Amino acid sequence: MVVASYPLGKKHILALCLLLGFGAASPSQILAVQSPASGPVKEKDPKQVQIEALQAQAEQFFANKAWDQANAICQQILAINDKSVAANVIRGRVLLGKGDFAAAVTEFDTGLELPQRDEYALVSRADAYAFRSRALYEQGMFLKAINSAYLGTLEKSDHIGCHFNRARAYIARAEYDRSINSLNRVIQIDPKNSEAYSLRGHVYTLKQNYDQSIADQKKAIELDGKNALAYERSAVAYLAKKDPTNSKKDLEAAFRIDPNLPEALCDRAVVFAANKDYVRANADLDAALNVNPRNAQAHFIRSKIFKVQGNNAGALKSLDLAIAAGEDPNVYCERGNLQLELKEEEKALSDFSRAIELSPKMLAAYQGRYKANKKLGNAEQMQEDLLKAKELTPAKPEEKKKGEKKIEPPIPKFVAKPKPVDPAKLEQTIASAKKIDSLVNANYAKYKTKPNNALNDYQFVRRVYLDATGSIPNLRDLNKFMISTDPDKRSKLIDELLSSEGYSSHYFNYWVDILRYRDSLNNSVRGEPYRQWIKQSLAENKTWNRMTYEMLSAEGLVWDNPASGYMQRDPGMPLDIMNNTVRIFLGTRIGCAQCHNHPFDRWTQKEFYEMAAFTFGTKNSTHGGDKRFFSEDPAIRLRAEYDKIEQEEEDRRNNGYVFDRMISNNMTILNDDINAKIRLPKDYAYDDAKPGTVVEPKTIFGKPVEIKKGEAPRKAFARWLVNKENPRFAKTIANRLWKQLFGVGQIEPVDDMMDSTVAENPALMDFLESEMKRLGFDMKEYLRILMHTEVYQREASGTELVSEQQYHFPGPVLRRMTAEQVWDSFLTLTADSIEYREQPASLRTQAVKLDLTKAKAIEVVRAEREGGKVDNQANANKGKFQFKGQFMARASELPSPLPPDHFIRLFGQSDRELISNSNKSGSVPQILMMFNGPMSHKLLEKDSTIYNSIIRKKTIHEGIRTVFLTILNRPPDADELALAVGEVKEDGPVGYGNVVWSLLNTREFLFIQ
Amino acid sequence: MKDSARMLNSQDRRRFLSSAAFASLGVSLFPRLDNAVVAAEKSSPGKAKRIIYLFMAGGMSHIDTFDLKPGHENQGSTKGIATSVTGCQISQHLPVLASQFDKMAVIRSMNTQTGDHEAGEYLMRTSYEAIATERHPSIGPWMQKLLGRKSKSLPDTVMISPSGQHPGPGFFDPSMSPLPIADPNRGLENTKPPSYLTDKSFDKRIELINRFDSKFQKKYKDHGVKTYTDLYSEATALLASDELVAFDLNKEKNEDRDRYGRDPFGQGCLLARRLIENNVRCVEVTCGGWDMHTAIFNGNTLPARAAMMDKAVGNLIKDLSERGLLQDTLIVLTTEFGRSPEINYNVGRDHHPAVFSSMLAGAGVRGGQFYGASDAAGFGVDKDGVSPADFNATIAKLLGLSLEEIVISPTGRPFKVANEGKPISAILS
Repeated sequence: MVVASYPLGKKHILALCLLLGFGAASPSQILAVQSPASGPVKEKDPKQVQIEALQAQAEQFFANKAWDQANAICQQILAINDKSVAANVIRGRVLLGKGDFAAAVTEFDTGLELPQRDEYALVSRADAYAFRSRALYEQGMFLKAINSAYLGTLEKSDHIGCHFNRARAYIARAEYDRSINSLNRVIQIDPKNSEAYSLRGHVYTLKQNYDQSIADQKKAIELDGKNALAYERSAVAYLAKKDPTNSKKDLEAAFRIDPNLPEALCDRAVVFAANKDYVRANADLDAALNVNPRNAQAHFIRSKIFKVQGNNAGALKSLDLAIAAGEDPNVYCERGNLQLELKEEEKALSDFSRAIELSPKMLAAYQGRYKANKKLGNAEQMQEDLLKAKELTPAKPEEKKKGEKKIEPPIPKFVAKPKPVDPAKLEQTIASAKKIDSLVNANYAKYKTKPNNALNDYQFVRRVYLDATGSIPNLRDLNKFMISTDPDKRSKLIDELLSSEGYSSHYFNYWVDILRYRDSLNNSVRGEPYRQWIKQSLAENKTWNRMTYEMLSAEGLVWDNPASGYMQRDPGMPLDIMNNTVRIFLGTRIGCAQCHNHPFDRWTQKEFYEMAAFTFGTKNSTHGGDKRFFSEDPAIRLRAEYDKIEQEEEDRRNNGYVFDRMISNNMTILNDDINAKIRLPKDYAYDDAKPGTVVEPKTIFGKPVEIKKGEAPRKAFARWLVNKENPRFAKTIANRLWKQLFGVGQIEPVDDMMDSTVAENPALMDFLESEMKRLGFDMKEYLRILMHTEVYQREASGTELVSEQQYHFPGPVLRRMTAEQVWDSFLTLTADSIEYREQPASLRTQAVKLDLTKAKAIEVVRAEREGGKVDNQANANKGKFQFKGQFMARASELPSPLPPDHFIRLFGQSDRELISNSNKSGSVPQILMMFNGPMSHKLLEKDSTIYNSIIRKKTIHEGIRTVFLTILNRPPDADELALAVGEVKEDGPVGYGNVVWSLLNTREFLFIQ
Repeated sequence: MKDSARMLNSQDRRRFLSSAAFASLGVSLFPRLDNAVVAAEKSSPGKAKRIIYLFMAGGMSHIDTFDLKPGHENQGSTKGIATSVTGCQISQHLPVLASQFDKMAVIRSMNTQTGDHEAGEYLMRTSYEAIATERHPSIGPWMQKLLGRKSKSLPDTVMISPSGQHPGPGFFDPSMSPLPIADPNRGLENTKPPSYLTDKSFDKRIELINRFDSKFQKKYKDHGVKTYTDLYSEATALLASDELVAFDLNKEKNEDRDRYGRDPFGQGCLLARRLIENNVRCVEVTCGGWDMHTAIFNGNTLPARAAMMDKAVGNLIKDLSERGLLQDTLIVLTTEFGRSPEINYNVGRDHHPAVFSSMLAGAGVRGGQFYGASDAAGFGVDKDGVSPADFNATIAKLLGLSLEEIVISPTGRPFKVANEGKPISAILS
C-alpha cells in the first residue's frame, strides 16, 4: 500500500482577511491520505510484496523525519529491483522533506526516466509525478505543478495525490472551478476523504459561496471529528456570512482540538486586529510563528497591523519575511501596493509582474501594475494592463426588476428570400400550358386513352399545396380558397404558392436527395453554407444552368464560395465524381464504363476516362507547402507558436488536435491542378490504347470543348455542360420536373437516357425541352406552366400500371407522399406556424474563418472555441422546439442525414449516400410510428392546431366536418359523417381522438390523388 | 411491349434492370421472389441458421484483448489469463470469455489498408470499399436476399444501437432494411398505445380506418396502396402477437440483466439473445467507445470497456450454449481495425489496420483455437493474413450462402456476398 503525503496550501489568501480589509495567507499542514485499494485481489509478485513492506517502513521514517533511515530503505529496494521507480520516489521525498525542492524535482525526473511500465511501476510513477508536483508548487511553479499532477493521472487515473495536488495548484492560480473539479475527482475516488471536502469548501469560500463552504466543512467534520482545519474554515465562512456567533463557536472548536493550530491563531489575530486589539493580535501571531517561523500568513497579517499603525517600514519587513517563507502572488501584490505608496515604482512594478507570473489571471496585480506603469510613463504597457484588467473584471450581474421578464434576444434565423413569379408572364404561361394539353390530347386520340376526371377544388388545393410547398394546406388556407368565387383562383393559388418560402423548402428536399447533401460534406468540410446556398438559389429562382455552372466550376473555401460544396462531397474519388455529375445533370449513366466498355450503351472505358480527365485535377484541399496559396507553410509556423502559448499540458494536448484541425479546415480550398493527368488503368484491356496511357479531356457527346489557356479543364467542362446546345442538359431537367408533378417521367428512368431512348410522347418532350430553353432554365416558371395544364389538374390514375403497357397521362399517377411531405403535413396539423429556421451559416464562418498567412496561434485557438460556442447556441435554440424527443421543425431544417430510426427515415428519406436514394416503401416500424409515435400523440394533444379547431365548433357535425377538412382537406360524405358522429356520441372526446387517429391512418391521407 | 422500363416505379425498375443485365451478361440468376412477399425459407446448407454480429466501433486494441505480447515493451500493463483451453491465453480483462474459449476461434491476422473509422467499418461490414456511386449491403440483407425472408411478422435483421454509417440494405430493396433499435432498454418503439386506449378501442380504431378508407381503396387499386393495406394488417397482427415480447427486456430476470451488464451493449446482447430465441435471423449490436487515444490503461478506459464486452459476449455464448442454441447460431465479434502496439505520448494507442483480431464462435466453428498470427511486436501479420472479404466469406460459408452467386445492382454492377474472399477452412468444423 502506497502512503502519500499531501501538503495543504499555504500560498493562498483567505477570504476572511480580505473581507476585514486584511490580507492573509492560509494554512500549511501535512496529512497522510491513504489510497483506497483498487482492483480485484490477486496474487502479487513476491518481490513486490517485499518492496511494499519496505515502502511502509519508509513511511514511518518520513513521519519521524528520520531522513537517513528513509534513504537507507532505497538501497534495500534497489537490491530487490535495481530499476525500481519506488527508490527514486523515496529519495525525492527525503529531499522534499528537507526543503531542497529543486533537487527533489531532479530526483523524481531521474526515476521517471526509467523504462519500467508494469502495473507496479505505473503506481510508483504516479507517486513520483504527485510529489514532483508538490516540489514544483513549493517553488512557486504552479503551472508546472498542475502539469506534473496531470501526467501522474495519465499513469494512474485514480491517484488521489495527483488530483489533490493539482487542486491546490489551481487554487494558487485562482482557477477555482478547475480546483473544484479535481477535488470532486478525489471525492469520487474516496468518498470518505475529509480533507478533500474541507479543501473544496475552502475553495467555495474563495468563490464567495459560503453556504456551500459550510456544508462541505460539516461533511468534513462528520467524516473526521478531529479535523480542526475544517472547523477553522467553517468559522471563516460564517464570519464572511456575517454570522459571528457560529464563527466564534467553530473557531473555539478548532482550538479545543488543537490549541496551536496556526490557521486558527491567525484568524483570531485578524479578529483581534479588526477590533484594534493589536496586543492580543500580535500575541496570537507570535504563537503561530512559534510553531513555524516560516508562516507566510502570520507575517502577512503582521504587516497589515504595522500598516494600520502607520509603520510602513515594519510592514515592508514583514512582507519580505512572508515572501521568504514562500512565494505568493497576493503577498507580492500587497508589497507592490506598499512600494507604490513609498514611491518605489520600479520595485512595485517588479512585484506586480511576479504576481502576474505566478497567477496570470489576478486582476489586482494588473490594476497595480497599470498604476506603476502610469507613474513610470510606460504608455504601451499601461494600455496592455488596462485592457487585461478590463477583461478580467467580472461582469456585473444584470439587475432584475421584480416581475420583469428577461427579454431573450431573437434567435438568429436563416430565411431564404423568395422571388415571386412574374405576373406579366401569365399570358405566355397559359398559352404554353394549352400547347402541352393539345400535345397530350393528341396522344389520347392516338392510343385511345380516356382522360381522368378533372380535379374538384378540394382535390386541387391539396395537391397543389403538396406539390408546391411540400405540405397539405391548413384549415384556414383551405377555407380561404374554397370561399373565393374568383374564376382565376386556381391560377392565383399556383402563383402564390410558387412565390412562397414553402417552394424552396420543398424543392430543397428534392434536390438534396439527388445531390446527396450531408451536413458533413467530408471529414473536414461542414455543409451549412452550401445547404443555405441551395435554399437561397431555389428561393430566388436562380436559373438551373446558373446553379449548375456555379456548382461545377466553384473554387475556394465553402464559406467563401458555397457552391463548391458540390465538389467537396467526394474528395479523392475523381472517377465517381464524373459518374455522378453526368447522371445528375445529363441524365446519363456512364458508370459501367468506369471498369469496362458499357454493356448496354455505347460508352467505352476510354471515353469514360476522357470525361474524368476534366475533373481529375480537382483537389478538395490544399496544404501548407502549396506555393500558389502560401509563401511559407502556415501549419509549421503556427505549430511553433502554439507550443509557446502558456497553457496547461492537458489543454495543450486536447487543444492540439483541434488546433491542427482548425488549420486544415481553413485549407479546404477547392482548387485545380491543371497539370494533373489521368492515365488509363493498369488492367486496361482494349486495343484502342495501352494500359497506363495518359488521356486528354474529351466530351462524350455534343460539341467539342474549348479549354482556354491556363484554364482548369473543369471550368470548360461546366460551360459545355450547361450550354443550350448540350443535347441532354435541358432535356434532363425538363423531364425531371415533369416527373415531379406527374409521378412518371416522359423518359424513364430520368437518369438513364441512351441514344435509343424514346419519350412517351416525343413531340411533347421536344416541346418541354424547348420551353425549358426558352425560359432560360427558369424552373419555377416551368413548373408554373405544368401546373396550369388541364392534364395536371386531373385526378390521379386509379389503376395499377401494368409494366407492359404504356402510360399516356390520363392524369398524374397516384403517388405516396414523400417522407418529407408526410412529416411537414404532420407539422401543419400540429402547429399553426412552424417557426424554427436553421442558424445562418455566416455566424460560424465569422468565428472560424482565418487568414492563415497572417493568423496568430492564439487566434486559431480562439476560432475553435468561438466555433464551438456558435454550435452550442444553435443546439440550445433547437432545444426550444422539442416535443417528446422530436425536434419540431420542417424537414428542410433538420440535420442531414437523419438517424435511421427517425420518423422521416422510416418513411424513406435518403441516407444521402447515393443519388435519389429515397424511397416510398411502407414498413411495419413506419406503421407503428403512425399508430403510437410521438407525432400522432402530439396531434391528439390539447393545443394542437386540430384540437383547437374542433373545440371552437358548437355541434358534433361541425366538429367532424372540421376534422375531415383539416386532415383530408375535404368534407365527409353522408356515410362518413354518420359513422364519425356516432363514434363521438358514443365515446365523447375519446371518440374525436379515434376519428382523428383513424383518418391519419388511411391510405387516402398518405397518397396524393 | 415497346418501352417496358419506362413506366415502372423505381423498385420495379431495379428488378427489371437486373434481369435484363443477367440476360445479356449470361450469368445465372436465382429465381427471386418479390422481397415484400414472404418466401419460404430455403434450406440452408450451412450449419448456422442465425447470426449475432457484434461490432466494436472505434478500433478494438488487439494487443490488450485477444493478441497479447507478454514480455514485449509494447504490452503496457495488460496481463494474460489462462482460458478453458490449455496453452491459450487472452487478456486478464476477459475472464468470462476465457471460460468459453473452447467455443471460440480467434483470428489474430486480420488486416486492411484503411485507418479511417468509417471506411474501415464499411469495408468490414460489406467486403467492398466505399465509393460514391454504390452502396453495398451488409450481411443481414444479404441473407434475406439469398435465402428469402425468414420471419413473417418480425424483421429478419435487427440492428441495436447502430452507427449512422451502417450500410443497411445497400442497393437491395428498402424492404430489406434492418430494423433499428436505438435503445435496447426501450426495445421496439411505438408498440405501446396510450394508456387510455383499451384493446377494444384499438380494434375499433382499426375498424374505423378501414371504413373511412374503403371508398379510396375501392377507387385506387394501385400496387402501392395494396402493399400498405397488407402492412397495416401485418402491424396490427404484430401488436396482437406474442412475438412482441421478444423485444421486451423487462421479461428477463434482474439478475440476468445484471449478468450481461446494465450498459447499452450488455443489454443489447441480452436483447440479441431474446430475438434469436424468437426466430429473428440476424441481430447486430454495436459497442462504441474503443477509440482509445489517451490513457488506455486507466481503469475507466480499456479495462472498463473490455470488462463490458466480456460480460456481455461471454454470457451470451454461455447462455446460447446452455440453451442448445449455439449449435446453429453463429456469433461474430469484430472491429474496423486494431490499435498501434506502441504506446503514444498520451499513454494511448492510435489506429492500426496492419493487424488486428476478430472472433467467431458457435455453429460450424472449430472452437478453442487461434488462427493466424501477428509478429512479435503485434505490428504486422506474421502468418495467414485474413482480409475482411476472407472473414466475411467464412461467415457466409457458415451461413450457407453461396460465395459465387452474383447479384447485379441497379447500376448494373455485379456483386457477391464476400467479394472475392476465400473462407478459412481451418475454422470450419
